[in-house]
Amino acid sequence: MRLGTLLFALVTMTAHAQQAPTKVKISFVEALAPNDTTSSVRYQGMYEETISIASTLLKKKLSGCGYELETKTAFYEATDSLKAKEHGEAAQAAGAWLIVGPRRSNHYLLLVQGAGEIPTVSLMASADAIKELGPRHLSVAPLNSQMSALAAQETKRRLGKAVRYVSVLSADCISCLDFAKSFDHAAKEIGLRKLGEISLTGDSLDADSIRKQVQELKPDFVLLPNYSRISSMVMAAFNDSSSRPFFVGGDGWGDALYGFVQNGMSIENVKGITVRGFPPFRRALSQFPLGKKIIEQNKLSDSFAPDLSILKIMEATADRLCKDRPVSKSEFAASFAKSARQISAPWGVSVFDLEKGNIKFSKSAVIR
Amino acid sequence: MKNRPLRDFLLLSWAIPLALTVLGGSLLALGLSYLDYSNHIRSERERLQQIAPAISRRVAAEILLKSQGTLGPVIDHLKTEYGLKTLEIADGEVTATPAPLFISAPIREAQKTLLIARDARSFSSFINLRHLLLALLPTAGLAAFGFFLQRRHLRRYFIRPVEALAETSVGSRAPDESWPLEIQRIAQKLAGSFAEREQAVFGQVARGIIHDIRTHIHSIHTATQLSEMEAADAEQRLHRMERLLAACQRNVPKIKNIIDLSLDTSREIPLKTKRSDVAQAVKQAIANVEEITKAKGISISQDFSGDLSAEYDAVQLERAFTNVVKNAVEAAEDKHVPGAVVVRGARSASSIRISVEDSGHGLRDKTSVFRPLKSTKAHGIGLGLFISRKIVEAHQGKIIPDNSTELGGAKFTVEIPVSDVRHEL
Repeated sequence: MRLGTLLFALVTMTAHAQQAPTKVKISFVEALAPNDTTSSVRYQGMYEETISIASTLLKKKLSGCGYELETKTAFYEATDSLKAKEHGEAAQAAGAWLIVGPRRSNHYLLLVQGAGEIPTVSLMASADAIKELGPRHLSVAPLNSQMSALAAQETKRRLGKAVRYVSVLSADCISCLDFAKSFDHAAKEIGLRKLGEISLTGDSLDADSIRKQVQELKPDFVLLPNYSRISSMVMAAFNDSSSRPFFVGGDGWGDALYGFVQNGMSIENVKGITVRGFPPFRRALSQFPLGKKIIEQNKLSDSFAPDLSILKIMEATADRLCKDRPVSKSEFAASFAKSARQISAPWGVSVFDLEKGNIKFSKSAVIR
Repeated sequence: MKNRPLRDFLLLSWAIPLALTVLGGSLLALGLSYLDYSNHIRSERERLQQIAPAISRRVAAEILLKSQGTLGPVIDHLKTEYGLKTLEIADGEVTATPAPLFISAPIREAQKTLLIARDARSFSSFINLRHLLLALLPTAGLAAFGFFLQRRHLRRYFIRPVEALAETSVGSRAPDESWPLEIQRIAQKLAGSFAEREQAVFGQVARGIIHDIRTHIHSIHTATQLSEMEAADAEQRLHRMERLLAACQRNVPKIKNIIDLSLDTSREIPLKTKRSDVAQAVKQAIANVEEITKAKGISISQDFSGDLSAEYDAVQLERAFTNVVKNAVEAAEDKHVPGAVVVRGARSASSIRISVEDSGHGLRDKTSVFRPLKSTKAHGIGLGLFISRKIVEAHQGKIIPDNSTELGGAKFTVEIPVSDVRHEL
C-alpha cells in the first residue's frame, strides 16, 4: 500500500513536472514620433531589449510557477493616436492577458477603449483621467495631480515671495493641459497667482512672439508643462533676454536619454525645475528586485539603459502570476486589479533642477 | 475704302486674320488659365482627399476621448496645419456641397461625417499676363513673320504684275509666266488690244502719208498734164513749163520730207557733224515756228550763256529742237491763255544743256511722252518728240522730261555732251 502510494505520488509529480506551462500573452504597444526618427529608433531598440532582458531574467521564476511569457510588440506613428485603440482591439482579439500601453496619456486612454476587459498599464501616462478608468487600468507614472502639487510647493519654496506666473500650454496635449489644471488648483491653495495663459498648437511655433507676450505680463515664473521639444523652444527664446523668468515643467521635459529639453537648443542661462515620476536611473533600479538583478549582472552599458517602467510592470506581473496562479485571462484580470496600486508610482515624484543647461536630480517625495 | 492703292486693300485684308489671331491668342490665354485653374482645383482636391483620412482619424480619436480629449484645440491645430478653411463635424452621413474644394469624409468610429474645405482661388486669379504673353507673343510673332513673307509674296506675284499691266497695255512689257494666270490673261488681252490699236494708228498714218504724197504728186501730175496740152503760143508753153517746174520744186522736197520723216521713225539717224554753236540750231528752231507763235500770240524768250559750241549735226539737231520748241508752243497754245515759252542754254563741264519750258498743262505721265504715235494734242500724230529723242540719243545725249516750276507747264532739258560725239555718216 505504501509502495503504491509512493508510486502514485511519483507518477503525479512527474506528470505535473512535464505539464506544459501556461502561456501568458503580453502585448506591448507604443507610439514613436515620426519626425524624430533617430530618437525613435533608439527608443524602440531599448524598448525591445528591455522586454528581452526582463523575459530572460524572469523565465526561471515563471517556469517554476508554470508560466511562460509570450510577448508581442507593436509600434505605430504618434501622429495617428487612433492606432492605439486599434492595437488594443487587436491585442484583445489575439488573446492578450495584459496590454502594456503607450506613454502618452491620450494614446493610452484610447488604447483602453480598444482593450475591453483586458488589463492595461501605461509606461508614463499621467493624466488624472486615468484614475477614473477603474482598477484594471493604471500608469507606472504618478498622476499629474500628484506631480503638479509637488511642483507648486517646490516653486513656492524656491521663489519665496515671487508668486505670479503665466502658463504656456500646448493646447493639443491632454497631459499638459491636465498638469496645468492640477497645478493651477494646487497653486491657488498655496497662494500662487496666475497672470494669464498663452496657448499654442502643433510642433512649430513663433517662440519670440511667445516671449514678448510673456514679458508683457511680467511673471515671476512660467509654467511650461509641455513636451521637451516645445518646452525647449520656448525657454531658448528667453536664453539671451535680460528678463528671464523662472520655468516650471511637468514630466514632459524628458530625460538624459530621450528628448531632453537642452538637446539642440541653447538654454544655458535659463533656470527652472521640473517634476517626474522617476528618480535618476540607477537610483530607481536599486529600489526593486529586478532592477537590482540587472545591476548585479552588469547588464547596463553606456548605450543601453532598460526602461524602468517595463521592468517594473513585468516584475509585478510575474509576482502576481506566481502568487495567485491564475489559469485564465479573467482570473489574471481580477488578480491584476487587486495589485494595481503596487505598480502605480513606485518611485514617488522626483524634483529636478534646470541649471546651466543641465537637469540635475534634487529630491524625491512620496505623494499619496 | 475709296481711291486707295491696291497695297492698302491687301494690307487691310490682313487686319482680319490679325484680329482673329489676337482673338485666338486671348482665347488661348483664357484656355491656359482655365487649364491652370482646373489643375489647381484637381490637385488641391486630390490633396484634400489624401489628407482627409488622417484628419478624420485624428478627429475620431478626440471624439472617442470625449471630455478627456482636446477636440477644439486639435481642430484649430489641424485647420492651421493643413490650411483649411472649414473643418466641421456633422452627425450621420452628410454629402459635401458642390464647392470646388469641399469634401466630406466619414468618421466611422463615431458615426459622424467630417466636412473639410479649403479656400479655392477664383478663376479670375489665374488670368494673368504670363498666359496672355505666352499665347500672344508666339502667335503675334508668327503673324508678323507671315505678314512679312506675305508682303513679299504679294508684292512679287500680285502688286508688281498688276502695276506692270499699265506697261503691258502700251506694249512696252510682255506678260511674265511667274504672274498669276488671271493677270497673264488680262495682260495678254491688253497687249493684243494695244497691237490692234497700234496697227490701226499705223494704218491711219500710212493712209495720211499716202494721202499727203498723192496730193503732192497730184499737183505735179496736174502741172504735167497742163504742160502737155497744146499751147496757144510759145509764151504760154513756157509759162506752163515754168508752172510745172515750180510744182516740182514745191512738191518734191515735201514728198522727200514726208518719206524722211517716215524713215526716221524706223532707222538710225545718220549724223554729219562739225563744230558749231548749238545756240544757232536752237535759234533757227525758234525761227522755224515763228509764224505759229506770232499767230497764237505766244511769247518766246531766249537766254543763252557761255560757250555752247560742240561737235554736232546742225540739220538734225535743228530738227530735234524744232520739234521740242514746236511741242512747247502747241502745249502753251492748248491752255487758251496767253502762252509763254522760255528757252535757256548753258554749259557745264561735260555737257551743253538746253531747256525748253512752257506754260501749258504739264506732264501727267513722264514715261510715255516719247512713245511714238502718242500725242495729247488734237492734231498731233505723236512722232515729233520720238524723233527728237532719237536725234539727241544719236548725239549721245538725252532729253529729260519734267514739269516746269516756273511756268507751270512742261520742261524738256536736252543734254548734249561736249566731247566724244559719235560720228555716223
